[in-house]
Amino acid sequence: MNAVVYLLARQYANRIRRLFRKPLNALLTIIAALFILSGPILMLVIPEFYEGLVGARGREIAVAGVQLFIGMTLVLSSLSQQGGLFTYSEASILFSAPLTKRTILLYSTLQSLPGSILTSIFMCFYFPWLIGSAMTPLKLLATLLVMALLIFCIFILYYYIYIQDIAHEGLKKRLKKYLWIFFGAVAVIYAVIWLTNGHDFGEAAITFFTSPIYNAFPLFGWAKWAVAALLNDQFITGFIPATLLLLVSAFVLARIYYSQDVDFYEKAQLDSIRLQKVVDALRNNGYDAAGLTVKKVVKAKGSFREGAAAIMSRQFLEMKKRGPMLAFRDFINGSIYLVVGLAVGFDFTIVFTMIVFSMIVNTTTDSWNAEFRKPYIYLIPESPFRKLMYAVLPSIVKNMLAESIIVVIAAILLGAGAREAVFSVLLLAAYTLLFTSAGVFTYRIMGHMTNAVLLMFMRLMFIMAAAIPGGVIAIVLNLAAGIEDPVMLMIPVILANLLCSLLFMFLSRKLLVQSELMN
Amino acid sequence: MIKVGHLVKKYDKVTAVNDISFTVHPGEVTVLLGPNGAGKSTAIKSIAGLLNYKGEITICGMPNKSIEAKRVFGYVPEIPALFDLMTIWDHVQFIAKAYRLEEGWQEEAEQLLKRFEILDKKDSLSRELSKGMLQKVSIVLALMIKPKAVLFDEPLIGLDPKAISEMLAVFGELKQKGVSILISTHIIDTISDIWDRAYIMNKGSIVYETTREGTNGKDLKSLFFEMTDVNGAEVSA
Repeated sequence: MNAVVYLLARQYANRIRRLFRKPLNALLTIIAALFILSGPILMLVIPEFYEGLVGARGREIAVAGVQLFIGMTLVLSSLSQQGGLFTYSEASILFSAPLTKRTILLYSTLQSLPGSILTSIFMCFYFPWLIGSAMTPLKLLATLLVMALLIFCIFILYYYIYIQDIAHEGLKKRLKKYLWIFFGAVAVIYAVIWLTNGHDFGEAAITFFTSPIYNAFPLFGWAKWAVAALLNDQFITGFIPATLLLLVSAFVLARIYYSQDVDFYEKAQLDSIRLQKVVDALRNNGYDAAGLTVKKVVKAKGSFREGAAAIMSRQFLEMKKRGPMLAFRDFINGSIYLVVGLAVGFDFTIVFTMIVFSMIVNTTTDSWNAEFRKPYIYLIPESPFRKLMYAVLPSIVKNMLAESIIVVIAAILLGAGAREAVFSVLLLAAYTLLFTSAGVFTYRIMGHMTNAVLLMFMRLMFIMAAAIPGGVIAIVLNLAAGIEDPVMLMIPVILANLLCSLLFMFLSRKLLVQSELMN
Repeated sequence: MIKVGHLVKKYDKVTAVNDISFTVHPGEVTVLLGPNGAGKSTAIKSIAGLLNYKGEITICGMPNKSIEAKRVFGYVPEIPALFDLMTIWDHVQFIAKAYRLEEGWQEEAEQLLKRFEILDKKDSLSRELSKGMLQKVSIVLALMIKPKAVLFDEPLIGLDPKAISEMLAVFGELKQKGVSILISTHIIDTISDIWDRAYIMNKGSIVYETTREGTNGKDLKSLFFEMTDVNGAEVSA
């Protein structure tokens, strides 16, 4: 027991120490923390500062939406066949040390606690911006507790199902099937509500998520009930009972998990090798993780073009092998924003802005990033600029295609005009070019940084900052010149983005000669 | 020929390679020896153009980062860096097209794969291969461009005895063809029959250089211990 606690404590202490090892790292860590805390700090300083993106009507839907989005992502990934309990380095220590099965199970239980809190902090970052001043810092702290309990229960359930799947082969597969049937049933219920609510997507969402039946649903329902009650100041009749239900569930699940008697050593050890590779790839900013987590690789033959263009052919081949679901994750993400927009009642501009913001994150993990981690792009005897262009082209094409389809669908469903839709697609293309070129340029100025987390954060900040010139032009034209026509505002932003893209590409033209292979 | 002049490479405050100069002659096997952290891999990566450094490096008379130089040298990294979702044959095709190899590369690539006993795995994804097999693929990719100079960074690690013996035969053939071969290795015993020139590195500097003829009867391993002052455990026999 002591050894297990010591091992965990050392791991986290070392990680924290690493964040503050150098003055620059410490400074960037503080900036990152301030960024995450910016919402609650603002609400604390100016209590009536902001109404929130979703307004009073959409609060409960926003809470349920964030919980379901992150929670279901965790549930579905846990039911995939690519799971694992420990990384290779953990498994090597735990399985060779004189520890009982229960002590090892205790390790994974304790390990889930900090993971739950960190995931919860990540989820809670959105709430002040979505809900506004109604989410006071104290209420956010209570929400953090609720979310951490929910995530802890999901983690423990994942570990439990992983081990039970060893004893009862095919359990995960069956559970995944039942889960999809359940999703289908929920979709049918939602459709019925939509039909009986005047075909209003937003009204249907309010009826669905504010229903006491939803609140009664284990884990997700209780978590939403707790936070919604907190926002409505129903502490005794809502927050406390719902939180207690989650707390008891967490305890019972941990107890059941800890008490099981299944020999999981062999499977956990086998999976640990692959899991270690995934963790290592994620530590390397996740560029290679997608290749390792793809379960079924589509059989595809590629034809390679000559010279630098072979880099592009290679990436297209990889996209084919990943299959449409993974290659077009941007399309799926965009669809989620569209559904959320429809449910909460956002207008087209807000949904478009959400799609543009999601592209920033995608840029930092697009396939060309992985290219810079392998020696071949540096070794191929072709012009460095041509190699660079061919390396980023597949991601630009993929992003433009996937996001444009979503923008057009959003324009139709949210009632934007044809003219606005066409220019929105052009603006989206300009943003794709801007974010990709800014992302490439970050390697020139930050490529030497060794802390992967901070590098990722700094890259995100820089890519966001690249959009400032266009944004400033639009604001100036709107406020100073009184232009309100969205299309007339879009045109100068498109031009500004294209100019900035050209500048970044020009400054990065010798990147493959001047930068170093990144490991 | 590979010429390295006054190469210096620093990582923050650490000097990994400190003003080293050496030449790898055509038709010779030159070995870079040294304990862990001596700077061998850094030197090889610098020659391959994968790092920024101070100094001058030419390959066949051309600056190492020029397109002309890249056409004529092959590089086998210490840790194979292949693409997880690509098969061995995808990698072969990728390199052939990227280097614009002449017709007939398919047969030659197949011969190389057969020689290293991985032809039957040519349709396997690289993520399904063992470390040794990945190393063999890296070697095939470096050799299929018919290089005039080759950089091998610890090429024998992870290889089975049959592959090691094949690798040694390949070194011999490359020598015959007049290729400049630079190998960084720990496995001194294995290369003892094939080396022509040796540079022993320690703490970023070359502390000793010799040719096979100039050792005065001493074997390379003894020279290594003498020059680096390490115990036997540092070197794999």
